[in-house]
Amino acid sequence: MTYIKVRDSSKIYQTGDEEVRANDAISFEIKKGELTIIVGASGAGKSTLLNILGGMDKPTKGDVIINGKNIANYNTRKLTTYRRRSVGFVFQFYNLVPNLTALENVELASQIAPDALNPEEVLKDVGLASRAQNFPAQLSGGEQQRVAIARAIAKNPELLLCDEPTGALDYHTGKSILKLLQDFSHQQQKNVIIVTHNGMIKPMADHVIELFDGKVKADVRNANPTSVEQIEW
Amino acid sequence: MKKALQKNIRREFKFSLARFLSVTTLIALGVIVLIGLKVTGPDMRRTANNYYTEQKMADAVVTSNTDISKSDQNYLKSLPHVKKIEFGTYQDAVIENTNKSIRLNTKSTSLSKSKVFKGKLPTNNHEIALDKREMSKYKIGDSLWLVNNKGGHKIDNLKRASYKIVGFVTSPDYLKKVNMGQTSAGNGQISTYGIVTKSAFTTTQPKIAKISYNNVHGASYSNQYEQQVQDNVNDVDNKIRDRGVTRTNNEKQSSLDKLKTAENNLNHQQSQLKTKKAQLKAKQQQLTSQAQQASAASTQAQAQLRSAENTIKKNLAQISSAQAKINRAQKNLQDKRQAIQNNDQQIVYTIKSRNDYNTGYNQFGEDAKRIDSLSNTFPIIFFLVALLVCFTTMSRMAGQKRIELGTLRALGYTKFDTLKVFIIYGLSTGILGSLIGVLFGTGFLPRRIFAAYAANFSIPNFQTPLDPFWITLSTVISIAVTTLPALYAAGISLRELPATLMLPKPPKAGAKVLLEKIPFIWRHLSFNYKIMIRNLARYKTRMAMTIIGVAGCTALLITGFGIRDSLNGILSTQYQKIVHYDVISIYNPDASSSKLAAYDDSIDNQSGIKSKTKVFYEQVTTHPKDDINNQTITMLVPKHPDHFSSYVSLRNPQTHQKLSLPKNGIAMTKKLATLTGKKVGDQITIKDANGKNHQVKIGKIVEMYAGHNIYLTPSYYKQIFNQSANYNANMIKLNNRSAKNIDQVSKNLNKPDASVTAVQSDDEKTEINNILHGLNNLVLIITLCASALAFVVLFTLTNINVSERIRELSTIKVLGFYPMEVVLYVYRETFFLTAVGILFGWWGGDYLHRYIMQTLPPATAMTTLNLLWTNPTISAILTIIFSVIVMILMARKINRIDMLEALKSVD
Repeated sequence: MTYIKVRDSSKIYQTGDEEVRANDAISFEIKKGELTIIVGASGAGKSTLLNILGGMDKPTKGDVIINGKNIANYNTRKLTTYRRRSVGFVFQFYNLVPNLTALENVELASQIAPDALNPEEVLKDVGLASRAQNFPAQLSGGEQQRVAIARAIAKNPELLLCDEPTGALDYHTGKSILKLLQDFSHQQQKNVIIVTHNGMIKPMADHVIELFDGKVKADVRNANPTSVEQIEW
Repeated sequence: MKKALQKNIRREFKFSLARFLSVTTLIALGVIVLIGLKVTGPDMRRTANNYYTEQKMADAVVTSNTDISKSDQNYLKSLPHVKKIEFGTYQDAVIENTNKSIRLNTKSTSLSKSKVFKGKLPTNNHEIALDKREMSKYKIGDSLWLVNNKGGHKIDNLKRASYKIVGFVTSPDYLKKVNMGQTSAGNGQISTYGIVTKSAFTTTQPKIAKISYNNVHGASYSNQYEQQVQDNVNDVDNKIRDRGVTRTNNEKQSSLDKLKTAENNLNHQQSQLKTKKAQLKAKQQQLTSQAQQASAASTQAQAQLRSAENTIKKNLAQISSAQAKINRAQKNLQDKRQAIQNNDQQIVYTIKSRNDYNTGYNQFGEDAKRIDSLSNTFPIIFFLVALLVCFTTMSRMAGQKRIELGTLRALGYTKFDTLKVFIIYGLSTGILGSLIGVLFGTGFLPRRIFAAYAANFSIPNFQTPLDPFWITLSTVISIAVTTLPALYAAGISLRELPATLMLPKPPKAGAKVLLEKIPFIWRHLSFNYKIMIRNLARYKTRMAMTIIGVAGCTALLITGFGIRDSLNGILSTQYQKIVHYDVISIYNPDASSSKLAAYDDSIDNQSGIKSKTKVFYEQVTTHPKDDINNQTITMLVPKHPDHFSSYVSLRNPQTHQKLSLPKNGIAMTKKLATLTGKKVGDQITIKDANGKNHQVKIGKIVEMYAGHNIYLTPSYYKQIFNQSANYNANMIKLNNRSAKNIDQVSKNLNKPDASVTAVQSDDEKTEINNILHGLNNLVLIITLCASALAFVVLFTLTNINVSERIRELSTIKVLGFYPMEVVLYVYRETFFLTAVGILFGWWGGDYLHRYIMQTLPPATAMTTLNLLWTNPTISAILTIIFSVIVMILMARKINRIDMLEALKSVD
């Protein structure tokens, strides 16, 4: 069952006479419950694609059909609602609100989502039950990213988007974060899309899309994804 | 050349235009209000002083209630320290076909000269120069006809009733435009004046002497000048009064002497007449006997006898008519003697300094002082709020540019190079702001304020020179505030290594607030409010700044509106709640009985009088301790104290409860009590019109907003003055209370010979109205400035808040917060702080308003201190409106935040 269908999606920036195609006629499909990795070098257009999928940006042309609805035609307000209800984000720099405790950061998201999960439960799931009352400044990088994931999951989204989630973390911590994401996808049957420049983690995914110069270079499905523990890079 | 660095600095202005504009505006507003209010008082005094000096305004004036005799003129010339003396006279009349009274003054040549505005001064006895303000009604070449109170062209002391207008002038003797003085002509108020030559008067004896001193130094209104003049005046005050008493006695004696001579003369004539009569009688008898002897004699002899007898009869008839004449003369002399002996009309000479002889001089000084007192509070608060916000903004600028500093240092630029941007930015905003501030603060604001007061004064050529002290001070402080905070913050950053500098400063760590320790409350708060409270606690400085900024602006708004409310309050309270009479008709109780009867008739025949009561009216003075000037007080003794409350309500100043006249003491008005520092039970010394001092006890203090009054019962008056009150006035209430009717009635009341003047209860009304009108402009300026300040403060602080938390805002935007939710995420705090600021502003505004309304009114007036409920409401609503406008501006900015960029950059 197709959950995401991107058809000829292009993002074109026009500066004077110059035309920059960040995404150039991208097309692919993602099935429900897949853990997808979008991989590519710096400037390949993967973040642009992620932003479009997450409803933070709109393609210049083409269709982006999520769960049967073409968000490429959405106005700002509808996009906001889409982000609010259907999407969870995890960023490279965690982006926690420094003035809120771990629990409150999770609550910040669960407050606005209609089918939110219990924030305390989610924090427990990511292994941070004991740090619930700590402020971000009191947490390590890995812990902060776990809070960020918990915040993304707590909304109970259909789609979890992660932009270089391990970019600012050391090897072991990064690994545990990826494990968390893989488990989430496989256990809850939710779509998780990870954007990364690190091709070494491809084996963990159900579906890998490689981008090069704004175009899809490869679109491969992996019937037997490797567990994160067994991947080395 | 470090072109790239310069380019970078130039771009800083372009990219932070909002900050540049707000800092410049804040500095400009602060400096405008500070300089404007600080220099206006001195400017007003300087302008006045130049005018006085130019026109050689007399330092003191001696007035007489009749005239000044030749020998007394010589005496005045010989007084110590007299540099120059000039004698003059005046006469009041009514301009034909109008209700307006005019005072004609002799042209001065050396002291208190008139300043020609157009045309020239009169040179012969049929020319006149008029008040400049009459230019709207007359032009040069017109003729002006004057009449006496009865409408006739025969005016006392004047040779002519018609004059040719040759010029228009201003005069230092007439500084005020309204309430120029009282007169027996027309409606009792001098409404204009004219200048004529000495030769226009029939009398040569002067009524006033203008004096200048050779021992006075310093400018008008300076303590040095005022004290010296007052000392000079006080030194000779009693001597001059004594001259009046001596002259009265001498003249009484000399008229008695003259009477005596006349009587002697008459007696001599009487005795001569008697002798003559006796002689004639003897001759008649002789003739009769001759006639009997000569009965037989010739008819010729008989005829001779008969004609002789006829002659004698004729002579006798003549004698008896002469006798009748003598009897009449005797009666006449007796009457005269009686009159001289009964006459206690004293000749009173008084010497007064400028403050006392010219109410305009005093009031103008008081008005300038009011601005001074206003300038000690209002602009300081204003300036401080502006500086505070600049300080925050500029410190923040250094924080924002932290990474750039690190990069420049890493590239090898010197510390000075990296700081250049702050120096140039700070200097530009500081200098540009100060420049605008100095420009408007020196010229525009003082002119507006002066225009507000000019409604009551005719002092030409307002001068607004640059004030080096305030300009230097405000510019230096402004530049310091725009440069130093940024330099200081950047300087601290620069102590770190470039590598550390280039890393973003970790965001301020969150922390639990005290309230969280009270789970009872904390648990009941919604999530959004929890966030709000956390954020408030996180940015304590900015929280304080916002509260202070909003509180300051609300307080300023409240004060601005409050000044007007308080003055408006005067009019309604004074004329609806306290003063119920419309006019006091003052007459001379010592006038002949026929004149008094005519006066009584005219009042009885005056239609439209609702009721009247007899009072004794006298202007007395008191000298408050620690004050150079005397205060003039109107003393009223009602003949029927029980009925007095329907003419003047005596009320407790605090509770407004009605009071009755005290039995054993005076009722004194509140402002006088405040000025003299007296309370109920104290004694106060008052000086009566003849210069005698009396100690009176204060029985009650009563509410009154304009003018000083004391009220006493006839029995207490007798106890203090050792004589019964010689009732000299009718206090009158009219059916039709319009100003026009009061004017017309006053004019009629002034017609009888026995009438002295008519004092209208609303004399002060015009003056208050003029001040009100002027103050409305001033209040408008103040509220506009305060509003602009409120707006810029809110904008700047919110702008900082938003820029500092842009990452946080992007995050929640990505999380799917709707635009309004994002705006409220920051703005909930601002609203809360605004609300707290408004509460503090109410408190501060009430305090500031009370303070200003106690220092602002002139010595003779008081204002209500209470704020109308509308005032805090309007001030709060205005502040909230500004807050909402700022929110709308900020919402646009927040919605424009690119959530993608903000999330990617580490900055």
